[in-house]
Amino acid sequence: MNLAISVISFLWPFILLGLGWGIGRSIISRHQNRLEVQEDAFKDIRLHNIKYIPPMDKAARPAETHLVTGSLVLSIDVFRRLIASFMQMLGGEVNNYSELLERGRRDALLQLKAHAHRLGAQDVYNIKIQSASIGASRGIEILAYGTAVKPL
Amino acid sequence: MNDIILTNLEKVPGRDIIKHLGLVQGNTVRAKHIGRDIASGLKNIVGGELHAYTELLTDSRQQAVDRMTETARSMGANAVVNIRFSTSSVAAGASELYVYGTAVIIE
Repeated sequence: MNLAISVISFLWPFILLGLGWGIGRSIISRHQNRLEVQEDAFKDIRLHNIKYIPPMDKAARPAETHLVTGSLVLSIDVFRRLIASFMQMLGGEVNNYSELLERGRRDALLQLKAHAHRLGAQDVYNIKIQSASIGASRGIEILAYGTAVKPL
Repeated sequence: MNDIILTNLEKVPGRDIIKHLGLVQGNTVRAKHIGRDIASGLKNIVGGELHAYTELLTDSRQQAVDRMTETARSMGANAVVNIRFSTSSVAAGASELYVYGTAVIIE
């Protein structure tokens, strides 16, 4: 009995790391699949990060402009976080975080497109993307915002 | 609430700015209550989207925007242009959502 408890207490960090590695991998691949499906669904919405304001004469004013946003908080599993902390010591690219942020930005932009789509707009101008870390290792927030312009 | 036009462009397309009223801002600092924070901590083991936090920050950002809009309204503005958002972590588990822009009167 005592042996079993000590074996478990010795092993539990490895169990957590194993869980993180396995479930984390399936969460990442499901997220990527969802992103691909949604990117295809919203491919007709154009994103611009220029401040260009469509030329309009006074007779043809745009029907609406709307501030649209997309945001999410994303984190990686303990296993990948541990590997990343080794990579940080060694220097060079920390692939796990590069990949996390890449996925997060794609998702934030997709949510922004979905917001524009709900408003019936086709173009979003002056897009800004930013990220911030939320608390101690609680994850990274990625925010994308811009102005959806819906012409008459 | 929707009568004030919000945009992060420098002006409202197709409309002329008649008067600038100056900087308006809204902020809020929020933290998650401990139960949901622990749940997010567990979710953190396997990674993925932390929905509780996404929701918290979205709600808080909306509150910051509402505060900014309220200030603009009290100044007599009908639009806020060049809006910027900013998020910062103030302490472990608490974040500040800040939004600012220029209140204007458009024709």
